[in-house]
Amino acid sequence: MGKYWAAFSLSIQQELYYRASFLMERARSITVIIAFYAFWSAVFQGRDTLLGYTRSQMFTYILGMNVLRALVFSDKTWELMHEINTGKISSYLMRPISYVGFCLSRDAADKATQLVSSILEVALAAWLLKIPLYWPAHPATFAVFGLTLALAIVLYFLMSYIVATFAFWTSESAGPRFCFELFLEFSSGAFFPLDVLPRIFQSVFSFLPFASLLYFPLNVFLERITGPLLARGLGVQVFWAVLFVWAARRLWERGLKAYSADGG
Amino acid sequence: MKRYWQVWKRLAVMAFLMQFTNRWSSLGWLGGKFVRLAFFILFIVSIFRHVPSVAGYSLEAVALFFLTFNLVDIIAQILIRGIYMVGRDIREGDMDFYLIQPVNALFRVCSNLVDFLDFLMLIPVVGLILWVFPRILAGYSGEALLMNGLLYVLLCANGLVIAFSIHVLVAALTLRTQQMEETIWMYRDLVNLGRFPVDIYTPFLQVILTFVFPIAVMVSYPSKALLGLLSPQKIVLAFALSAALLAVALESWKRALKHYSSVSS
Amino acid sequence: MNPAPAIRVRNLSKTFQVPVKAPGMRGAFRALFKKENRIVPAVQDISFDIAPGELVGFLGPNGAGKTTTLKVLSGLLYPTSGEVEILGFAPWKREKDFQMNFSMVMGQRTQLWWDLPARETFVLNQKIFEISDKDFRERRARITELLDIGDLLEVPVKKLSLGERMKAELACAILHYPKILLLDEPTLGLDLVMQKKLRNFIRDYNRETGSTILLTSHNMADVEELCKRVIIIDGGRILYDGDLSKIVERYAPDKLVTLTSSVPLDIAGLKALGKVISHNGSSAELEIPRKDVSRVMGLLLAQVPVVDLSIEELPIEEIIRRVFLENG
Repeated sequence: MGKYWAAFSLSIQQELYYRASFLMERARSITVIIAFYAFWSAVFQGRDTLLGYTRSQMFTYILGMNVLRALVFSDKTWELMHEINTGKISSYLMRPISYVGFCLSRDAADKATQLVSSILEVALAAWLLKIPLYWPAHPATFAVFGLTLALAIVLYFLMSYIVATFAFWTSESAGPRFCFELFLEFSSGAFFPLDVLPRIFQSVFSFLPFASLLYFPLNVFLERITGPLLARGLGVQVFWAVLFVWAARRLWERGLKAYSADGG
Repeated sequence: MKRYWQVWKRLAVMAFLMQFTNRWSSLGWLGGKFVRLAFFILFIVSIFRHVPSVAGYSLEAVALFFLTFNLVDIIAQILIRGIYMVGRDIREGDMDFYLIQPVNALFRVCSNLVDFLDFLMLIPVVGLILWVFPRILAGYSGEALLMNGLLYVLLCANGLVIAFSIHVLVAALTLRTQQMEETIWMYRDLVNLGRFPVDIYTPFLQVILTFVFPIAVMVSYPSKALLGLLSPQKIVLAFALSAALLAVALESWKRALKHYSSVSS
Repeated sequence: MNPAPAIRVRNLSKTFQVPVKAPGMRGAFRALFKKENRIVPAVQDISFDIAPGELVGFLGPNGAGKTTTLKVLSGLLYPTSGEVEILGFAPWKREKDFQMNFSMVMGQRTQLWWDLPARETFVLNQKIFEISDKDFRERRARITELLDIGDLLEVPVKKLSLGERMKAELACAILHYPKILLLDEPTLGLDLVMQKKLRNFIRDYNRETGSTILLTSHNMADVEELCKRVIIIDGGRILYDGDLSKIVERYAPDKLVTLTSSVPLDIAGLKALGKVISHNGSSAELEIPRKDVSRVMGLLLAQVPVVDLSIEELPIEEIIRRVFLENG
């Protein structure tokens, strides 16, 4: 356990050291809240509900976007891809430390710093702008929300690692990855709740894994998804998680093989 | 002048060749940009199925704001993308080559990465603008049409001058401190606030977006002028602001170069 | 009457301000409020002229002020005081007419685009320097032939070896036939064959175009083969400026004699003839004053059954070391 802790703390130090890139990520997230908060305020003018959201639910969704982006979408796979492409990964593979464990610690460090920062931002915004927040009526919601969130984190981890393994085959994985990331952000509801979209998009997205990352946990928190829909959502999460574990393992193995066949 | 045009064309060809060597990666970047554009348009169109107007603007008007934001931003990116690399140029010594060659260093820094992908992005954006235009201008008299149309084009150009000035300021800062290059990415984030009409923001934020960080003038004013919502005072303000900003930016660049030429590297 | 010099430097000084940092957190904290600067002189009061068409070696240890001088000459740095004139221009004004006739190659840096074949950057420089298509084609053909880099121009620069890249780099830098060419460590990191080729090329280029070349190098073979005149600099000051051959006479009054005999040598006897630097049974190395060489040779051949004998100048490294020792 000690060595993973070391990787974790080293990453935090690095994170603070590279505070510029950290700040950038935060700035990006903050501008998204500002823009969408203002937009939805303008949309809500004089209404109590829209798209089945009350005011407080909608604004909680927007602030929640910021927190969940920080917690779910933060990762260090850009670094991983870089390590694969530069061959630096070999030195990790030779050490007596599981590379996946190492990556997990590194991700955890990233998530921890981003999360603390985003909670502070959201608290500040809610206080300054007197944003009405929604709190779940049933204590059990917190537990279910925690579960869906944990599954979301696992899912994102698996997905980003699957995409990162493409770096084993090509040094040109940065662009496709950018495309994937943007698609993922939109279709997970990290810019706006998916309920806005026409029904056809919604039904497609409800079966894709992306909505499970952000839209689904947030709506569980807002108690807009309960009962059978909740069960179905959890089922979708688990289904994709299992599939991705299998895919990630296979791709990772094959990737390593292709990588060592090239002579690194 | 002719020589500069030749050099610019050459740099554009080289940038294209580079992107073509990494064609899968380039395709991915391009795809990402299309995805973003498509989703935002989808979002804007969808929201108007539930509400008749946003901050008093119709669907066509909100779309115009969004598309104009993209137009100004993309053209700026085509023309000055290279400035994002200025930190690397300094570290790797490329800056020294730019300075000893008989081409203006600022021109060289700006044009060093003419992003071909952005040319392709212009196609859907311009196409959609052409679709939105007649819907907005339908009720206009010939005179208003000409006047507002002209103002729109001029203010778009003015927006480019502002974007250029902000980039030059950051480049000057980078040259001076040799470490502030991340500031430019802050700009990329902040400029995104201009996707929606600035009227949706609180008055305080609007003042900041006009005077401190003139995103509003850069990407919102052209659309407002086209809609006939911009007072003559504000039009004068827009041009004065960009002229002042340009002057400050060029002077800072000159000084930063001078500073660069007196320190050891 | 000498022609006007191509490069004229008078009392050039360049000092840098370096912030002084006290160690530790307290120092960093203090630096926030009060910045202390230390003034470091890089070049102090140097003067020299270089005539058009001359090929001059510029020598000195690391930190001697070579690169600073080159940067001032190229217009990258402002001088703190003194005058610099190249082809009648002040370089730091970066006037177009000056830059059109100027070029510099910086050892480990490259102006070639990393991901593209060198040929592409050549065309870029054609546009920058307004070289006509005809001139461009002829020069490119001539240069690629001399440097033997025809095929290499089609390969992305990142796939070239260091030596190949250096050749392409040099070719790219002189496409506009600059009247002034500064070369900073052009052979650094290259193998012997490649060094030789590059040197031949520099010499040919100098002769063919009559351009003025100033070259810094750690590699004494470069200097010996190429430069009639050298400027030696250390601690920001010029120690020597003149013919390479004169420096040899002045700082190396001795010649190096290497001798192998068929029988073990009588070392005591040899010591009477000259300074024995090393010996190993039947062979030895001696330093003999220049003027005594023929006399001593006669004696040696009479006394010792010589199998092999050679008389050489001291290695140039050794001579330069002596210059520094004497002036340091």
